[in-house]
Amino acid sequence: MSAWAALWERARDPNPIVRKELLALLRTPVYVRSVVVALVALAVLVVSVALAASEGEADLAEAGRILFQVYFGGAYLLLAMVSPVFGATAIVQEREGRTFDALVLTGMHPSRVVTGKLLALFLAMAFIPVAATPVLGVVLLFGGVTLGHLLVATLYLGLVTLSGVAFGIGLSAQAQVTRRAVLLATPLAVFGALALSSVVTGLGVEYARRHSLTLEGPLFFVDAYFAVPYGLSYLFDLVVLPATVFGLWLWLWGAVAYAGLLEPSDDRARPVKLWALGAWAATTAAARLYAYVYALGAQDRVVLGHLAQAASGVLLVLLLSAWVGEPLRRSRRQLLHPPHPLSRALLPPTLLPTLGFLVALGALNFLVGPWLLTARGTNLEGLLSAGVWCLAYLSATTALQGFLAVRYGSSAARIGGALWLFATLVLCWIVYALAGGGSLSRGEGALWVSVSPVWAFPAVVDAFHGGRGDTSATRAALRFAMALFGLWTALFSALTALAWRRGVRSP
Amino acid sequence: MIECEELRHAFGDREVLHGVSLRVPEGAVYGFIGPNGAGKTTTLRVLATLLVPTSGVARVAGLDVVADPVAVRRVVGYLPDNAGVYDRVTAEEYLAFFAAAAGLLPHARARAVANVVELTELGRLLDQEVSALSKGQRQRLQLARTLLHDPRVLILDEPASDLDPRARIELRLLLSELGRMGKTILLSSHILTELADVCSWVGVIEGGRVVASGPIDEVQAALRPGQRVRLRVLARAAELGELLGRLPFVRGVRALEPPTAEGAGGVEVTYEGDEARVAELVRAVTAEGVPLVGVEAERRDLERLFMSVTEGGK
Repeated sequence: MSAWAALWERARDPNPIVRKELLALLRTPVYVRSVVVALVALAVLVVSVALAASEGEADLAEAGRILFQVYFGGAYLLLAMVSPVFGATAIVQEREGRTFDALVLTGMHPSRVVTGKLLALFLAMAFIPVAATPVLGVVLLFGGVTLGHLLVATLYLGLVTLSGVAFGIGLSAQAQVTRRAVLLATPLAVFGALALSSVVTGLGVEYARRHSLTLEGPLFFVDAYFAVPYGLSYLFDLVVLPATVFGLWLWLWGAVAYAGLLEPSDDRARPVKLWALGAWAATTAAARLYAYVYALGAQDRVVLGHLAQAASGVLLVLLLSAWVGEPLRRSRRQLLHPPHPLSRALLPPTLLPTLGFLVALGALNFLVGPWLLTARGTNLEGLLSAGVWCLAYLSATTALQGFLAVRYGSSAARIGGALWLFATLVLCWIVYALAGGGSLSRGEGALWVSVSPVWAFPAVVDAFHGGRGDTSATRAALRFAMALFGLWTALFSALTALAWRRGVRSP
Repeated sequence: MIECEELRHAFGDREVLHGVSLRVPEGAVYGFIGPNGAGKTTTLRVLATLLVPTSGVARVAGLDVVADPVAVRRVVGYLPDNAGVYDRVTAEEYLAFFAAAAGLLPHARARAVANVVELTELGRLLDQEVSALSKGQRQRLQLARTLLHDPRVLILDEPASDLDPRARIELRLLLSELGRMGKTILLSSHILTELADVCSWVGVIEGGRVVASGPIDEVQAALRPGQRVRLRVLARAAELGELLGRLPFVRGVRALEPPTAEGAGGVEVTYEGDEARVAELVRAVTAEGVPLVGVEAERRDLERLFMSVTEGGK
């Protein structure tokens, strides 16, 4: 067989995990029963709505619209909550069932394992709406919605399912026990479904206002694809933005799952670091495009910049908590196969350079990103003040956790990080109240809460963009907090260096 | 084919391998024995590239397990202790899955599955779901799985555990066949009688260190120099020490128990040489008219070896 023929044969060869998982699933009685129950429930729903419409002499088109909303609304909610739980069993069951070693030793690339699991579980979940297509076809007979509506709604249903499964697989690859993965996935799935619907609704209100649309039902965004005129705004809002959101989500959980399948001696954090860099570039580009498409004014761009700072702050603190478990030194395998110096500099494989990478990422997120968003002539002082405050806060948090990780281990670092968050988010406000409080808008008692992100952002917006007269007290409090964070960072960096010199545990 | 030098591994602060060194030549069937917790499984997992040792060197077929795990996996078939199987697929689907996962192209896959099915005699079970197979059949299926990519080295961790006697015999025959095919096999087991019939080499590990390693006969000879035979007589047992001690190839005579009032009893004779010496011993005893009723040559089995090594040679 020639090399080309072998290459062609391999390219046509489907992922073996997909076939194996689907075969096993189709022989699982619970799955088959669930599909039957779902289809029967759907048929009952359609018949009920049809009967109600015919008896009440209601408009059939209206009945079709109601059925469309009820079916897809229910399906979104159900699949958004069930698919993460379903995905959460995917990889951890291989560990518990003691089949994981055999799978690893086949030499199958981890990315192929992840895509195989993802595709298999997605197809298993998607089988229910696909099997329901004939029943759903009745909606078209009622009228009120078009085939296009059904296609767009089904596409979104697929994306929500894929995202849910990817999230579940990400959790599953990190977990050691199935029950724990499922217990974690269940509340997070409910929270995720609620968060998703809140964001969609919130954005939808703004979106409908901008395009003078009337919102109807939970699936109002499907109408948008047929109501909004084609143009740059259509392309951005209905294609680029959803593709960016779903793409980054899938990439994140795919990277987390991939990392979970790597060996301890590999650079496990690398896929998520790569994602962090890519996500920064993608979201900055999307925000810049948004500002351009809607010709945002200087004030709106500043608000957008502060929103980006706040969101990336939350993300970076979460990443810090994950990356603080990085090994202190490179593994024997990494020493034998050192990564390219450029790769090592960009995506470092050990704890201290990783923390440096995180702070650099913070600089991009807090300073460079918002600056890229602004238009010519914008007053950057507020954005830069908030950015430097955020960077100082992140540096102080990182320095503390870095020291604890080097001196006492990653668990102590995570506990220390949680206490730090409690101190800066809650405790400083308690101290502020005990100290007698005061009017923060006049800068009274601001020093007490100047270390809190809850104070910093509103204070910056108020002081630099609120057009108030005297902002000197707020500015002084900001400078005080930055100095404090700077000293804190210097102290714990020195302690880390001391702990390192005393000797660290073997990796 | 397999070499370990000063291999160390720790789980957290607990070191479980304290410098394991062993060598398995090409084509050997090497029995790796030791008490629970001695470090057998950890050593095998290091060799299978599933663990990275904290220090030391391990090579399989000349490939370093730390530096080149991907290449090592291509030449090794590893069967873990108590390995799981996918329940809701048939035996054929199970093997086809692993053949595809191992990267075999579709045209080579069917041939690979057919070969291992013939070798492991799984033909009649191919259509059965894995969940319906007995433990012995599952173990054969697992062994078939490890053979799919035609590895030169097999690393089997407790392959006979939990199997009934029939399944053990079948497994033993299969391992013998694989040995004849030229595969290098490293297997651990706590069922030493099973290993004795299959293995040509042996290694004993205790407390994270290999305390004996080499061809079985050589190891036994090194640990207990000289052959031993037990003689039982109906009378004049007390005279045997002096009688046999005169023979030049006898190194020692030890009474097994005090003689009875009638003089019956037994002795253990340590001697140099082969089994012909036993005939000379018998001749010497009967020539003196001592009523000899029993001759029992010491069996050089793994159990005795294991006990002598792990209990300080008692």
